[in-house]
Amino acid sequence: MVESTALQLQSISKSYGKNSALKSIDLTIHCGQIVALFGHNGAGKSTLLKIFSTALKPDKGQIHIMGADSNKYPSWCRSQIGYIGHKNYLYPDLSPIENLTFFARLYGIAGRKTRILQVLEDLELKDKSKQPVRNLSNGQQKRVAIARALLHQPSILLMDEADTGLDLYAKSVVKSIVQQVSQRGGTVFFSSHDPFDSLAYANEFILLEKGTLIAHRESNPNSKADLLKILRANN
Amino acid sequence: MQYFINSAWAIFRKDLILELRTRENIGTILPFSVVIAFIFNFTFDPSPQLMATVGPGIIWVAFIFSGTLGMNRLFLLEREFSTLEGLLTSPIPRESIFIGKFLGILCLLLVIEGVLIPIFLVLYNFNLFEIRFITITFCAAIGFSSVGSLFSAIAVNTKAREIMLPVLFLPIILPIVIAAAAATEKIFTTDGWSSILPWLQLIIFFNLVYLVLSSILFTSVIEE
Repeated sequence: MVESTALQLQSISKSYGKNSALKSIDLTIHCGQIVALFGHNGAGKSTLLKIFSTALKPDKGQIHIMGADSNKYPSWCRSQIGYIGHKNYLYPDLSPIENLTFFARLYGIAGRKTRILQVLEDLELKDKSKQPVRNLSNGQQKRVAIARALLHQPSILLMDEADTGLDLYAKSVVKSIVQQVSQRGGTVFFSSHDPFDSLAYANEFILLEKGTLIAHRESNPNSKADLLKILRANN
Repeated sequence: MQYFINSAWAIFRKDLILELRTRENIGTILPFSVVIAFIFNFTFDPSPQLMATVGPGIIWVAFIFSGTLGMNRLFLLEREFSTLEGLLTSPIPRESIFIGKFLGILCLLLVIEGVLIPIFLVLYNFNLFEIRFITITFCAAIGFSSVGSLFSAIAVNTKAREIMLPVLFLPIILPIVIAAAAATEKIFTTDGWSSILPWLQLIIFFNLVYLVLSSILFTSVIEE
C-alpha cells in the first residue's frame, strides 16, 4: 500500500539576495516517517524547514502539506504543522501557561485548559508553569517550546536543531516526543548536526549540500555508513 | 469571522498583559509626552489669544511625537524574541495580526491622550473635556494606529528603525494631523458641530482609506 504524502516540495528555490539557499528542491516525505536532515552550516537546512513551516515563502515552486497546496489553503496547512525553530518563539515575560494559552487561542483549540495541562504534564513542566519563561533554564524553555508546537496535536512536527545546547535529560525528552508523535502516526522532520544520535531513531535521512539535495535514503547500516563518509569527506 | 476576532483579540490581550507587566512603553512615553507639554509652556506666555492660534499645534505635536515613540516598540518585542515567526506559523489570518497590533496602538494613544488632556487644562487652560474634541482625537487615533501598525512592521526590520518610522509615518499621516489641528482650532473658537464637521469627515475618509490599504499591505510586509 502506498503511504499518503505528508510533505511535498516541487522545484523549490530560495535566494537571499545573490546567495542561493535552495536550488530547485524536489522532495516527498510520507506520513509516519521520522526524517533526519543533515548538512553543513549554510547548506540550507533551516531555510528548507522554514519553507515547510510556511514562515518563509519560496521564490519558486510549490509546497503541499498533507496533500493540500499551502498557497491555496495556508491556514489549514499551518494547522497541520508544529514547528520548533532555533529560537523558542516564547514571550519571556509570560509564564509557560500564559504562553500556551495564547497559542492555544491562535490555534482555536477547544478545551484548551485541559490540553495545556496535559502537554505541561507530558513535558514535566507542571511545577514551572507559573514562572516567567525568562526565569527558566535553556532546557526548560525548549520544553515549553516543544509544548507550544505539540499543543494542537499536529500531523507533522518540524524541528530545526531542537536539541542543540540541551543537556542529556532535555535531549531524551526531545527524543521521546519524536517517538510519541511517530507512534500516533505523525510525521517528524528534523535537522541535526549529530548523525550518530539522530540516525538511531530516524527512518530516513536527507543530505543537503549548498542548497542542493544530494541524498534521500532510508536509514539502514549501509546508508548510514555512506552518509558518514560524505559528511567526513566534506568536512 | 469569530476565529478572526478571537485571534486579533488574543494578540491585543497578550500585548496588553505584557505592557501591564513590564510597563516598558508607558514608562517611557508618558514622561516624554509630559515633558513636551511642559517645554511649550516655558517657550511662550500662554495668553488666551495666542493659545487659540498655536494651541492646536502644541496638542497635536505632543500626541504625535509620543505616539510615534510607542509605535516604534510595537514589533520590537516580536523581533527581539523571534515570536513573529511563531505568529506566522500559526493558522491565523495575517489581517488578525494587523488588527491585534492596531488595537494595541489605539489603546496606547488613548492612554496618552487621557494623560495629556488634563495636563493641557492645567498648563494652558485648554478645556479639552468636551465631546467634540474627544471625537476628533478618537477618530485621529484610529488613523494614526492603522498607518502606525503598517509602518512599525516595516521599520522594525530596518537598521535605523527609530528614524525610519517617523520618516515614513509622518508624511503619510499629515492629512489627518492637518484636519485634526484645524478642527481643534475651530473647537477653541466656535461652538457647535457644523464648523468641525468637514474636518471630521475628512479624518473619517482618510481613516477608511488607511485602514483598508494598511491591512492589505500589512500581509505582504509581514511575510517578507
